Amino acid sequence: MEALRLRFKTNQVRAMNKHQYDVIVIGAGGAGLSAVAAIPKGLKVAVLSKLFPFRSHTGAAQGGISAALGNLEEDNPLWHAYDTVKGSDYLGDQDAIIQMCNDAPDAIFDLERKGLPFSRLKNGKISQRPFGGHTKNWGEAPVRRACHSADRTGHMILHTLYQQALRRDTNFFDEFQVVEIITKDNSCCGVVAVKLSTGERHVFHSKSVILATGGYGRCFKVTSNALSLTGDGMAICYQKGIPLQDMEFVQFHPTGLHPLGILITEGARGEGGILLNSRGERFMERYAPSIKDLAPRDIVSRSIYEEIKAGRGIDAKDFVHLDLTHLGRKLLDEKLPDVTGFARTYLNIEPADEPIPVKPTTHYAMGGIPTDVDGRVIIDPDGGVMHGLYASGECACVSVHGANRLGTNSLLDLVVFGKRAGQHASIYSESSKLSELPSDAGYDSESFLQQVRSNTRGPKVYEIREKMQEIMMDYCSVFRNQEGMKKCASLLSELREDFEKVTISDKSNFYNYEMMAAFELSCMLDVSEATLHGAMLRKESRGAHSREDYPDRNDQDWLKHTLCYQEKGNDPIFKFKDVNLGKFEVKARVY
Amino acid sequence: MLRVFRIQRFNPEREPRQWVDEYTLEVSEDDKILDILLKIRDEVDTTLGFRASCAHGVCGSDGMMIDGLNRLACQTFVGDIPGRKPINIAPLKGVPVEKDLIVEMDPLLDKVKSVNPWVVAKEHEPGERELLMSQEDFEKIEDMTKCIWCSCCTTSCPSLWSDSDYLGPQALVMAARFILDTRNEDAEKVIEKVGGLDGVFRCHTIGNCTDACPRDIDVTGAIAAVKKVLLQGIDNEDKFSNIVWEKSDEKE
Repeated sequence: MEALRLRFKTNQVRAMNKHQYDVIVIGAGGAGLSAVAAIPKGLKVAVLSKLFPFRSHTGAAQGGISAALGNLEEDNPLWHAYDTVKGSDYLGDQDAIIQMCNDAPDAIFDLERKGLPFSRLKNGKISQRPFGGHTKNWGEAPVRRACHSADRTGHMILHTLYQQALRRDTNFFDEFQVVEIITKDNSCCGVVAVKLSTGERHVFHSKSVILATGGYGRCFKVTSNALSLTGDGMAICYQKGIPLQDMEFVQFHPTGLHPLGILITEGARGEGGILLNSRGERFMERYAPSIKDLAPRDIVSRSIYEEIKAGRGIDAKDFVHLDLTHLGRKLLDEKLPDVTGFARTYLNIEPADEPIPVKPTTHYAMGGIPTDVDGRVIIDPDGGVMHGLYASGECACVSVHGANRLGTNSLLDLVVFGKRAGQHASIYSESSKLSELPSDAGYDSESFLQQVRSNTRGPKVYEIREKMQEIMMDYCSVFRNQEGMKKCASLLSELREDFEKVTISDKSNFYNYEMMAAFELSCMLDVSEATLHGAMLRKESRGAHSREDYPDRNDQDWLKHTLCYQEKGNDPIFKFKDVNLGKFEVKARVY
Repeated sequence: MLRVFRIQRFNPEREPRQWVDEYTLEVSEDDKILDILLKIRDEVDTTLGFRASCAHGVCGSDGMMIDGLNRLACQTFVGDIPGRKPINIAPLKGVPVEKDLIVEMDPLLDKVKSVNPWVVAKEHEPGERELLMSQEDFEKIEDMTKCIWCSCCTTSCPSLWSDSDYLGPQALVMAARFILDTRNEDAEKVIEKVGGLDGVFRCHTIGNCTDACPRDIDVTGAIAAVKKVLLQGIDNEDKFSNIVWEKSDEKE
């Protein structure tokens, strides 16, 4: 891709519309809107999204958001932190995790005051339910910690935050695709965006930028992620020399609807649902004797694959059953109305009467743009920062999820760290001046867009995208090995070469989705590269990263974060960052 | 099987008026209409304009008129339109079309924004961390909180087609939700917004909205609740307790 960019030598950068702001927020899901809510009214703020904010994928989160409120039984933020550290397979940074779990109760009450309609208990307090990996008394038994609004918690968070943003009269730029961040001497001074309806380029010149662009599940063939989740925010950082952290850790959610990959919440197992193999065995009893079906997602996904490998998939095929029939129609309608609706709509199955076919689906990126607990983007192993640049939510890696995220902690992450990023970016913007834009601002993205437009004979966007999704699913998903990944790496670099010739037939500027698809594909190829090479490098199994050729965790050599730097025209290079250990001792991870 | 898809197109840069393109594709009954549209845009005509994101009915991007009814393309299957007749796909009605199946969102959003669709939190009860709410009160608003702002309801409403200033069902569902939310200090401000000439009494209980809602919200019932509040007034002693929450007839 770099070759493509360099080959196109021109200084003819099209004129751009210019805007000036104190803070720019990119992405308007839960993280971006939490940041917005934390910015004082005196600052000039703009929010850019390639969608309409209320279409963001936070809205697809179902089961809950955890906080040790103790509304039903004793709970403690430190138990929550312990579970999160253990769930992360000890790769999560403990200072950040403790911060998140301590901030959690207030974050919930804050959402509640913003109008979030939580499901309730008889006494009027917020309802809580069990979720995978969340326990009481240091792993003793499952605990009810996930606050929820039926099974549409993410939808309620997204809409509540958007409603409050409307109340504040926030300045939204909807359907603006950000294609480049502008940096100068280790500070960020804005972004370049394309307005989808006109193709016009806009420069947003600002004192600080908060990236909240979500994940990249669409790099894989089977995913619960929206079509829009193409790793844009991560890729535009990566292209500017900012590293991506821990990209080898991708979460596969155990219960995607077979064969579509649509998410069936872990809350279904929290309410008592169980997984069954072709013999009708509750197989999780064998893999996680203490918490069984409520084991963390990496373990459940691997267990499902082990059952399938052993020929115990349903009809000897590649899926198992999620059985909710014993829960009764009333509970399903009250607590799990949406997911039972998905089973009805997409598979014509009535979950009250028959089990739901499920298999692991690509769900969440633990890795991303490295940040500290205030959302500041870190660019080297010593914690050096890119001034004025912030990231939060799935696109960021704080890291609170380490090698495996616990269910409900993503919503908590984006609320807590979105807010912190918003607060810190505000303080930074209040005390700094707009720095001058560099003379080549916008040059890279313009070269790219013009090159794609001028290519005449080459593959179409979807042809490359489909191949990429297939090889990433085949060689870089739940189980990985060197041989397969080597093959994947050579196929992926062929695809990158093909991409330099990618040809689009829509040459207009008017709602040109094909051009945007080409840009998104360039992002997906970048983040796939970082994920794959990180996975090849890490010669151990930890959390969601499971190597058949290195089945054990190796703390001696690998209890460290990877930082992946793009090396133009070559394989990426890696540096390593220490894990922030401390309170909780690193131990074997058994459930 | 082969099916014909007749898609209404519009591109003011090419042609001042809408036209229809026909695509004949090999499809199965289980294919979603969204899959078909994506396939056409990928492989046949990359200029086809439509919005989509989550692809499973929670983001609300792909509301459109399919075989004469407003629905989400990701929740509608080829098999839902039985027989061999061509499947007509057109943009939502009653709002200006920008390109192909893409409509202007601003007129729709402006309506929703105009009703103050947000909670202004009341004071806590002393000693409590959260704003207490009974499960019963939660259930009163739960149905409306499912709304994903797809606008299938508003753009199916004949009252809106004849008067584009009418607030329309989507904004009224939001109004109902924020009037009935017991935690909202500013419920009365919402009430003030919906009583005017273009407000709730433009609703003639036609019911298209309820049929169109992909989230199975009882839209007509929510609008009826708003009417009731306006007609019966607000008793400050026991606010809204006089509202009888009745579901209108269940959809098929």
